Amino acid sequence: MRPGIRSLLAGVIVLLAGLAVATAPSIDRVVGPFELGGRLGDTVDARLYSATVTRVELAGELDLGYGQDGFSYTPPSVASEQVFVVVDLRLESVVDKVLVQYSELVIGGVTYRVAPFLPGPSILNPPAGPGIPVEGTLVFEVPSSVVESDAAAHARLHIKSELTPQLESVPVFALDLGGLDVERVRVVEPATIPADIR
Amino acid sequence: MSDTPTDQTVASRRRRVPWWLWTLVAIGAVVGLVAAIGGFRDVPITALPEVQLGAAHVGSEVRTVVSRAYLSDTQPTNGREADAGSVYLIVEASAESMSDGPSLLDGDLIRVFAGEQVTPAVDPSHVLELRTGEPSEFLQPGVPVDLAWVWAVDTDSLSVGDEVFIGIFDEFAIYDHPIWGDDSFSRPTPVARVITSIASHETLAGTTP
Repeated sequence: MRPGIRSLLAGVIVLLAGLAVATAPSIDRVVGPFELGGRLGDTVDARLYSATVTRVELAGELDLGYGQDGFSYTPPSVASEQVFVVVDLRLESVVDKVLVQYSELVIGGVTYRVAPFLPGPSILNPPAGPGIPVEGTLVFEVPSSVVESDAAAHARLHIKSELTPQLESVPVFALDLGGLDVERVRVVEPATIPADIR
Repeated sequence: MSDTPTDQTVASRRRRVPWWLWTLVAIGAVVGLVAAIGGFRDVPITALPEVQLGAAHVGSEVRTVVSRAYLSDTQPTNGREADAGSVYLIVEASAESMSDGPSLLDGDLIRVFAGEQVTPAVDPSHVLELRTGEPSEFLQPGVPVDLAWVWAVDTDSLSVGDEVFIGIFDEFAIYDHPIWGDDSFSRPTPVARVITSIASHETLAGTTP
């Protein structure tokens, strides 16, 4: 092969490789999660668990008095200089016990992770196995200015058991936090199995 | 006797410098240039910009305000007592993620030079959120939290009034790998320092960070 043609061919190959990289879908599009949409009150059935958001409130302080019955360093109440978004959730796992400690609240493109300090038993580590629903509370601490912004009307709650779920279904609830009053103190109860199925 | 065309081609190939030698020369030149401008020299701690106690340092993703360093027999908030012959060196600071998601830099945000026992290579035994006394797990965006980095040291290794160098660390996002498409972070590196003296828990009692 003539040197000129060889150089031209090499250039074309490099250009094609660059084009392939530039136009390749992102990793999220290839192996990202399948988001299953829902709203307040809906039950969303994912592959590994189903989730229902039953109530959403805002609070400036959490009463965690139940935690003092067991072993916990967390004091009986925790106050925020910002705002707690308190989400009551019903969760039922399908295959195995599921931990939802990677749940996230996304408001205006900013991601807030679920607060880890709730004493056990909390819904982050549900006290029941597959087929048994558990009711509990997720808490997200977010800046006050965010819940007062227009973006708060379009908050999205991702119920996640992995940090970066891949090729896995994930319930995503559209929540309207706009116009909610901020309670001074919200009593948080431990995660429990609902009385109607006991 | 004149050379045949075949002999000329062979001679030309012998004279041509092989490609791998050019590659080695190029790599050597780059490494030499980096070395010549001091790229491999250790960065002395005195080269780091100094931040005053109580002043804010804004890094690439975390805003940090170091408030105090002190010795105590117990951990803050949860009251865990140090073992016999040990005392806790505690550095308190406020930290806030400035990015659009939670930051996991909290554990690596602060390291100290204090006496012979505590160097930046020594990780704290605990990083606590002062409000709850629980281990810190991440920094929420836009929500400052008060944290304590805790090292257990021998009682006679540090004294009240000793000077302590507090390094504020940062990490830098490496965006969107073209093949793996995943964001990652560089190793945490020191970007600023706070120089203060060690207080005692008793003298700080009743004060807030």
